[in-house]
Amino acid sequence: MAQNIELLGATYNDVPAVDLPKSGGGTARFMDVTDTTAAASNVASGYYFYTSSGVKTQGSASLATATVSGTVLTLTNGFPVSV
Amino acid sequence: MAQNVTINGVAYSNVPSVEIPLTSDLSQTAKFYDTSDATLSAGGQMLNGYTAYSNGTKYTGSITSKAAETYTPTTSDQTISSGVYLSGAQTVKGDANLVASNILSGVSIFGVAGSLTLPTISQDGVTKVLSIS
Repeated sequence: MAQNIELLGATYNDVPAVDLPKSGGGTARFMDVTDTTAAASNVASGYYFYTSSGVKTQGSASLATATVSGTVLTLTNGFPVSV
Repeated sequence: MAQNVTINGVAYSNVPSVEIPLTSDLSQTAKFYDTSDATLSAGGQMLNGYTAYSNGTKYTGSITSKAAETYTPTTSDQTISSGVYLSGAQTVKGDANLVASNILSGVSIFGVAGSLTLPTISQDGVTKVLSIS
C-alpha cells in the first residue's frame, strides 16, 4: 500500500516505502505493510513474512495428513508434497 | 528485523520500524517496517489470493486450494497435483471385496493377486474347466 505522510513540513503522497541510510553504508528499506492479507495458515510452513500489522510471522501450512479407516484412505488439510 | 540507520547525522541502532505523521492527521502516524529478515520469496509459497511482505517485496499467493473430493478406483490413475493445497478431505474409497479369493488366479488388482480358481467338472470321463464369459 502507500501512505500520505508529512516529513519536516513537506507532504509526500502515495509513499509505499521509506529508505534510510544505514550507519554502515547502504540503504535500509522500511515498508508500509498495511494492505496485506496473509495469516500463518495461508503461508507454507518454514517461510517468514510480515502481516498487515507488521508482525513477523512464520507460515504454518504444512503437509497433508493421511489416515486410513478400514478400507478408506483420507488426506486432510495440507500440501500433498512439500512446497 | 532491525537496522542501524543514520538520520540527519544521528545514529539509531536496532530500528525495526519508522513512524511518520500522516498528512490527513498529524497526530496519527504511518508505520513502515523493515522486512528484510523474512524468507517468503515466491507466490508459490502462499495460498492463492493472499498477500504478504517479505524482504521489501509484496507477494501474492498463487497456490490453488482443492476442495473435498472422493475418488473411486477405476481402470486409470487419478492424480492429486503436487501444486495444490488440500483444503478439504481427499478420500480414496476402498472396498472390502478386494481380496484374493474374489480375484481370478493369475489376475492382480491393485497389487492383490487373485487366488480364485475355476471349478472343473467331469463328464463321460472328460474333465472340463468352467469358464466365465
